[in-house]
Amino acid sequence: MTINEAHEAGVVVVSPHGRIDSTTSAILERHLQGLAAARQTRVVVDFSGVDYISSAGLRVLLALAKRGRDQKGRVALFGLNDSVRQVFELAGFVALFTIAPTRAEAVHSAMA
Amino acid sequence: MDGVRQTLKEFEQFARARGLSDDLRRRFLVALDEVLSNVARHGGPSGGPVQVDFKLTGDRLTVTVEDDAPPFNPLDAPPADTSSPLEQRKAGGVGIELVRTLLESVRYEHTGGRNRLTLTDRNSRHTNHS
Repeated sequence: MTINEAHEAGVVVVSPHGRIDSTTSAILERHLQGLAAARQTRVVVDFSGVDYISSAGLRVLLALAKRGRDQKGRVALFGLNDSVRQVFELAGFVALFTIAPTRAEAVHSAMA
Repeated sequence: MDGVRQTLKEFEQFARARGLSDDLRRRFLVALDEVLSNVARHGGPSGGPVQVDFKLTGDRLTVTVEDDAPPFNPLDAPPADTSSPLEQRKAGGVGIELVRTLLESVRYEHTGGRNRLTLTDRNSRHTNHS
């Protein structure tokens, strides 16, 4: 997995590329924990380069959402393909996240 | 975890060679990741090699996962929490919930001293997915 990071209007956009499963989730987790340690609490995760996500990845996102709540931050997601969205729906994760239709809307939502 | 990585890679190659849809490939990758990491956790130090077979018959894909660890049926796990608010939400059990719900059929049997999990689905079930 490779992870790109961009900064827009005080929001960090994290773009993992590849799969998010038990073999890669620790890479994403370390990256997101690094942001939290640096008090970067407005976070957008760009899923447009993510092929699929398994529960190991959901665990990392749940921790991100909980940190976001604790740090009074904002988290938004966008770019989910049908497979990722299906996993989110089956796991009941749709209710836990702001899922925006576009990058611009995700950034806007994380700024608010 | 290297065994999991290797098996997922072999499945990717199988999926590509047999022209599986992205939808079916991804659903099986999610399920396989759950099942194999589960086996790695529950197999214990005495756990021997895990055998994974892929078979495509017509448009029906069957994947079997076998190990010789003590009897363990992952499908006995209680339903995962998929509705609590964020404060109370736990991630535990979500993996096996995905295995149960993503695929058309999942069956466990303990036979000949081995655990066998059989996962099946069809290549053409969700033709409108990317």
